[in-house]
Amino acid sequence: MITTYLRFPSEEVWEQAAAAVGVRVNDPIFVEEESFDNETGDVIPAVYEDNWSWNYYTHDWAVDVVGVIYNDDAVYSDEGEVITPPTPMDGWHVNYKAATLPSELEAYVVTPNSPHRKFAGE
Amino acid sequence: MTIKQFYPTQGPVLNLNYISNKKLDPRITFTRASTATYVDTGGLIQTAAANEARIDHDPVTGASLGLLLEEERTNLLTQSSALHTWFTSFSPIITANATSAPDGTITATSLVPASGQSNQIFQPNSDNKKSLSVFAKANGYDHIILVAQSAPTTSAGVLFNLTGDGSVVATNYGATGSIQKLANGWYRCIMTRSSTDAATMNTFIIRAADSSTPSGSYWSQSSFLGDGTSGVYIWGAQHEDGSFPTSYIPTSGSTETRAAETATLSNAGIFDIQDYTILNSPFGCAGGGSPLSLIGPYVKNVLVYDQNLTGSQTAALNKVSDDYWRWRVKGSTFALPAFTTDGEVEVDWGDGTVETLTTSEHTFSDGGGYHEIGFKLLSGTYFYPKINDNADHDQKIEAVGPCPDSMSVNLQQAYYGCNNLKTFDPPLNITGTTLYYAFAHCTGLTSFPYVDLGNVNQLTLAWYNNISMAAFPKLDTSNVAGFNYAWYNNTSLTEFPLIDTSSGTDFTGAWYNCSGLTSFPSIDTSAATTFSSTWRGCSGLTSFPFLNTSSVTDMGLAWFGCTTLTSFPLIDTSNVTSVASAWYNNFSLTSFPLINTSNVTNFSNTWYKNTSLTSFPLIDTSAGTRFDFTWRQCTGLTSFPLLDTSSGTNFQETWRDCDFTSFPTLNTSSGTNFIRTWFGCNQLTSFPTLNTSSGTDFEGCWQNCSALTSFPLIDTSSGTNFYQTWRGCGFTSFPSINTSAGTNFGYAWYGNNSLTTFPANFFNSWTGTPVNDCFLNAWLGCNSLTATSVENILNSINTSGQSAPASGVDITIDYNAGSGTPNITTAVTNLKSRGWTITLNGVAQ
Repeated sequence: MITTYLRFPSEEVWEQAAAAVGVRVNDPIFVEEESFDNETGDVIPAVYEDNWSWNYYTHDWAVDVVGVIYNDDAVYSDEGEVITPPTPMDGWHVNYKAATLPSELEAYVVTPNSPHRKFAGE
Repeated sequence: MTIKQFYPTQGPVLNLNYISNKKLDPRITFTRASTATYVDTGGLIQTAAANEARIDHDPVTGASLGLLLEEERTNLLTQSSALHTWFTSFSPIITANATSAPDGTITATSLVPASGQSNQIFQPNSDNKKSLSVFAKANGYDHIILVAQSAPTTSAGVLFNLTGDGSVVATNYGATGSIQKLANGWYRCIMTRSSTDAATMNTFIIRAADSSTPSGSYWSQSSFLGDGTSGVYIWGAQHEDGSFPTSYIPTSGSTETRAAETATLSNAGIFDIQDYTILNSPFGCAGGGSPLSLIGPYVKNVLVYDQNLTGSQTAALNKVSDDYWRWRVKGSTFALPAFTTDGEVEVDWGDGTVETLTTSEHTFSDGGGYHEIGFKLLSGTYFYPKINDNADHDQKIEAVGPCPDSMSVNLQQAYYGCNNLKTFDPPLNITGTTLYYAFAHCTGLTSFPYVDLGNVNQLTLAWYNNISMAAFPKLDTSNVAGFNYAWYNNTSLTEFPLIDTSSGTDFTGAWYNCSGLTSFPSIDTSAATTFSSTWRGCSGLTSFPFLNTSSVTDMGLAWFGCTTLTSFPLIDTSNVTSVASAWYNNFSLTSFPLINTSNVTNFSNTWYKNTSLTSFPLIDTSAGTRFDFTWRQCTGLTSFPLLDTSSGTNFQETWRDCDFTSFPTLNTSSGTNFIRTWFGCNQLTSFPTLNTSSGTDFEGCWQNCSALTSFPLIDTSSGTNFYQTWRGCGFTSFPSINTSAGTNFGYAWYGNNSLTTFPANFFNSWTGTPVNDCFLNAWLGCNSLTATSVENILNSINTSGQSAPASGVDITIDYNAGSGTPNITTAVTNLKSRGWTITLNGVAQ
């Protein structure tokens, strides 16, 4: 298994990509029966409510959502008080470990010299 | 009776004991995408390679704790062991690699406060999570302080004593502390910030200390000053997101994540999937499901029996002996706000508190994480936990353990909404007669154990929306009458056992949307009366068994959306009165049997979208009154049998979009509603003279029958609505049918671009009250109409003497201008005097 470091423009883009590769799954919850409009003859579809869940870990892949990464530029007092908070880096960061990288994720690959976060032991 | 009598007569087919045999059985598939640490038999912390299972041990006694299965955690500190690299205040003496650490390496850091000075080492950390920990050992001073520094008055902290078994001396700002003794004088000191602590943590501070309770801003213990030689050893700091700490995650230069562990046991070749029991000790019993997920954090033993075990046998094997019904919950609080009993229930909260159960919330004194709690019936006859979708507590229940036979349990709505419930051990004594919503929305259950249902006769919504349930055991359901929606939306089920359904009468929605089922057993449905929506949405079924349906009266929506059924058996439908939508969208059915439908009155939507049917049997439809949408979009049918539709009143869209080339002379004499009945039957080249004398509404009836070049002289004398009735047809001429009661002719012949001849005197006897827009675009696009036909239209309307409606007064006609100029001067003048306007070929007259 190989760890790939991914950077998405936003958390929303990551969620879309995750759904495309099965890391995020929607099992809709039934709300209302399908019905018929006798005036038009059209079928009014059953109503389901989205019910998203995450499959971060399976036998085939491991996903560690790092999220926003901050620069090491905060300023602290001797007491450890924050004088200037750290500034965020661009993007939404995810570590993806699997035998192969799905093509849907290839566009988001980055190669940091010193990753902010790693899977333990790497 | 002795306890031995409860044990099963046959031994387990699989016995995985992680206490005595410390290896992972090769039949377990185990994955972890990172390294992880554990304690070995000597009490030292060791590192397991990626995908290497961990058997953890008590760090003092070396006793095995079982197979360790943990969730994902990240150590948010970038230098967990090299604590000499952290920032310091008050110039403490820091010595790297000063002594042996809990992992046996010489990597522990010495922290010695300077003489007459306070002290602290700290690591800025903006991740602001709840759980902080460090390993510590006395070296002159025998106390340490952990602080999650925030504002001066909102810094959580804990003072620990590093002697004896270790203890928590004091806490600040809602924090809780716990301490775990290790070998060689080391302790793991754990601080958990309060779940209500909203202060932003900026830095993680560690201080050497004495026993005095700290005070002052940032809980800085202003009174304690060092002597320049005494201190503490520290190692292995951890900051993680969770209300309890997990095993140590070493870091060196970056934050590091220990991946979650997944362990599954496939049943292949080991046991019978429909008759087996798995005991996953200390929690976890399953009677179906392949693979079985083992439930952490500690698995001590897995026993698999190739038979269904009773509750008594399960309890005996689990060595239930203390009359407590044990549950595993996760979180810092728990409550059963809606529980009931007819006596008194004692609860052991597992944190030292044992009390009479009330509806009040209990806050665990040992913080968050996993808690094993127990319930005991002190008096009365039953305990009814009734979680019932409680938003505050339903997510906290992870496992329900073996239940003593002294506890009688009512399961109605008991675990409704418990999404994180992964395993449930069967109670021996179930009270009540219903499992109404008992396990509804338990989306984490992948299997279910064999349960003695006792007097239960209703399973209404019992396992509704158990979307992860991969298989189901062969329960004794011989007394169950109501199976309503019992397994509704169990989308992961691929097969279903041959359960005893001989008492079942109501099967409404029982397997509704079990879309993973590919087959279905020949269950006993001899007493069944209702099959409404029973197999609706079972889109994976390719065949269906021959069931006894002789008592069934309602089959409405029964096989709705069974899109992969290719054939259907000749079942007994002699008592059925409704087959409404029964085989709706069964688009893979290529034929349909000659079932007995002699008592069916409602055929609404019955074979809608059965697009692969190429023929249809001569079934008895003599009692049918509703035929709305019945064969709509059966696009494979090119002909239709001479069915008895003499009682039919509603023919709305009955054969819409069918591809008939001819149509039989059915008896439609009782029909009143002919809305879009043959809409889009664009292969019809002729149409019979049906009896439509009772028809009142013909809206769009033959719309888009583009291959029809002529139209019979049918009886439309009762018709009032002719809106779009013949729109888009291919007529060349049109008969003098009786439309005298008509009120709306909007778009009636719109787009009949082959129509040349429109009869004379058509509207002479017109008496219906015209609605607004009653002739809007009626003959628009009729580009072949002759000038004479235009005269016929306008002169006959004029002759009727009808005045225009309040609005929408235009009579719109297109015609072939090459056929001459219509002589309509008088008609136009008169019509205009009665409020009409006339537009010919786009020109107002």
